[in-house]
Amino acid sequence: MTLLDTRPGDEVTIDTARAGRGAMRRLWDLGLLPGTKVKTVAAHPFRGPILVRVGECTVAVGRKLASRIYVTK
Amino acid sequence: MQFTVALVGQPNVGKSVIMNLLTGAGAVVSNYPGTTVEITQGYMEGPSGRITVIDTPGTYSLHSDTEEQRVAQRVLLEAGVDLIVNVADARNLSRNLYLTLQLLDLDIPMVLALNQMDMAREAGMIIDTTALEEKLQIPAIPMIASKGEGLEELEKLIWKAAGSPETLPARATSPMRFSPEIERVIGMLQGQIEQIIPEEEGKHRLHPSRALAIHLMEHDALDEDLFSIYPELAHLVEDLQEKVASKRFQCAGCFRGCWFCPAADDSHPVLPTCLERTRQAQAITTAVVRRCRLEGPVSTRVRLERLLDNPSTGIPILALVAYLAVRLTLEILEFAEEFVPVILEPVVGFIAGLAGSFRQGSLAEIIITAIPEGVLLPFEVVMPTMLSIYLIMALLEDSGLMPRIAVMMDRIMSFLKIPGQSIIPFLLGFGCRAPGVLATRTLPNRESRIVVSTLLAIPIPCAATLGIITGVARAFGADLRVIYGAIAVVFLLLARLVARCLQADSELVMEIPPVRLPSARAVAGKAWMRMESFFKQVLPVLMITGIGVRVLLNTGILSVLSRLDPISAGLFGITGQSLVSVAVTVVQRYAAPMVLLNLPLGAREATIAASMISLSLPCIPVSYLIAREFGWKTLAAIYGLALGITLSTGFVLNLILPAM
Ligand SMILES: Nc1nc2c(ncn2[C@@H]2O[C@H](COP(=O)(O)OP(=O)(O)OP(=O)(O)O)[C@@H](O)[C@H]2O)c(=O)[nH]1
Ligand SMILES: [Mg+2]
Repeated sequence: MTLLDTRPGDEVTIDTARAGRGAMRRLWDLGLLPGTKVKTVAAHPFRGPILVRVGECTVAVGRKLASRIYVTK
Repeated sequence: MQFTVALVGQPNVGKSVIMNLLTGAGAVVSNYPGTTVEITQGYMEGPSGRITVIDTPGTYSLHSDTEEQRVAQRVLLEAGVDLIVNVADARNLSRNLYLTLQLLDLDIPMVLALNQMDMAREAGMIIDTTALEEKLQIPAIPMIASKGEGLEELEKLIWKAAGSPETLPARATSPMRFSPEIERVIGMLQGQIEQIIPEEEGKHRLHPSRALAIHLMEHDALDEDLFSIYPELAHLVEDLQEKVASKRFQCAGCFRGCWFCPAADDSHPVLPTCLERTRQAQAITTAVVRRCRLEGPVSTRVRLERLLDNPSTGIPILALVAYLAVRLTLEILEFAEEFVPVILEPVVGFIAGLAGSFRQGSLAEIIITAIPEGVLLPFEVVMPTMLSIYLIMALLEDSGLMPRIAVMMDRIMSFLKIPGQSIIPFLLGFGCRAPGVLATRTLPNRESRIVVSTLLAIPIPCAATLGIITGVARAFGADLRVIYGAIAVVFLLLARLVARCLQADSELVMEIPPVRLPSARAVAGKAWMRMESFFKQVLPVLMITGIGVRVLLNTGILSVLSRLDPISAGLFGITGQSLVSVAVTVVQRYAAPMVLLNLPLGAREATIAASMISLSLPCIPVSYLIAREFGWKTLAAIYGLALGITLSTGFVLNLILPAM
């Protein structure tokens, strides 16, 4: 399953991600790394971004990228 | 040599607040990551003399592959920094410690300013600072910079370090130890570096050999330079990478194929130093942070944050904010229109009286009659518009709403193929476009930066432009809806066009800062500081252009342009003289409408001319920045585009606008 399939309130662990170098870089910077637990906070309507909570920080991830971040519950 | 202190840390942790506390430098403080994009210098007085303090752009790490990281790295290595004050956000300790561990490798004396302790407490975190000091082997000072807490202790530490640099905590070893496998490679590389690169004051190419070795393994962008000077190093690293690829060194369970490792790409697998650093930061955090149960009522701040981050309540709230912003602007304008003339009446009356005492048609008379208009319009329309925009901007910046607007708009932006983050430069551009262009530095790549800068340079109207357009609309009954409509259409078309040509990547990954309740004083102070530009730049330029145009008109010089009338009337439906206003935009866009105000125009002509002006060449400061950031070629391309756009806007409007 991917981050895109999560619903608000779900807590998941990141397994892997496939994206361009720049996007990977930013995921890493913000602490979205393999093994990290994240909690989906909200999904914006009309296929807008997904908000996840990493530790005490909120991160917005665009749909396209979210569909390439693989997670397990 | 003067003692130099550098404030370094991740974005939005409070570096600039601390900078202002230490030096009173007036660095801009905002609640979104990426406020500071250029290095600011300030000075503080210590008992043993003046100390230089440098505020740097926030950077998540020292891997030098984005602009802000390169800036931070350069300062640290080249500016001869004697002490690093590493500002960290206590609430996100583990993520912040990643950078701390990297900084420690540089062997520059360092203290940790553990800021935003109030936010950490609110989140139920209790941090054992003494334990943290022991783990990192550097002093750590808990701070709440926004309330000035911890400042005294930090100041004392800096003074002490500046007074007797020899007392600076000497760290023989960085606390960051990698696994034996990696340490062996580091040791090998270190030995080679010490042989190949000549030593200067214990450093090799400004790096301690260990830092450079790690750096090479992580394959940062700096390497290309280094490799061209020392080809031996390139061979060495290639060799190493081959061994990694052939699994002679084990990957320590980093992402499959090291994908997640920021330094890795298909052709360059690397040892998982980055991953180990992250684990180390996490381990330290676990050891020093205790979580306690939250008690007491939920604060207004937290409640507001929850409402805003839930789209079903957040989007209506942001829409309401937008509505209130427009209302505020209109109210302020109405208020100013009523009261400014009353206040300025004696001045205007006095000047008008003066005019009577000069000979009709003399230069002095012309100048004197031009002054009242030059004073009234700026104060009646331009000043209130700018003031309200600046107030709104300050509110958006300080509350944390700006990144939330970016998230909300991301969908719309992705239709245009530009990243959602670019809303921040755009919003800044409504204040002044120059900082907007600078703010593009936080965008993921050069292509998106150019796309966004082009849009900033041509269609985005700055506060001064908006003010003046409103003025023209009032004076001639021009149709504001047409002008804004033209701007919007050009924005959309141009965005599609440029983004398509440049193939910008539009994937959004952005930190959303906590909502903060901005203090009225901070917001008013910020708006007021920016209003300075009204008095220093806008007002004088308006008055000078006003007078200049009057002189040109009355002396008949401009009537030469009437010869252009047939052409410009045919193409754009405006007089040849109005074309001057379009040319004036090169100097300052907001000066252009001053030309119009001095011409006899109908509503239709004014609408067309004002639209053309709003979509014309960027002003000099913006042009300068674009040339500096992206080169002259990009600027020339933007000028060409702008000319084409302004002319076609006039042409199209002339075709479709009915008589008014
Ligand atoms: N609650 C709280 N807020 C703080 C504290 N220190 C700073 N802030 C707020 O944090 C936000 C960011 O502060 P800045 O000083 O602009 O941060 P910066 O580190 O310079 O950020 P960049 O320039 O983007 O790298 C502002 O809204 C500050 O008011 C603190 O100790 N507690
Ligand atoms: Mg700053």
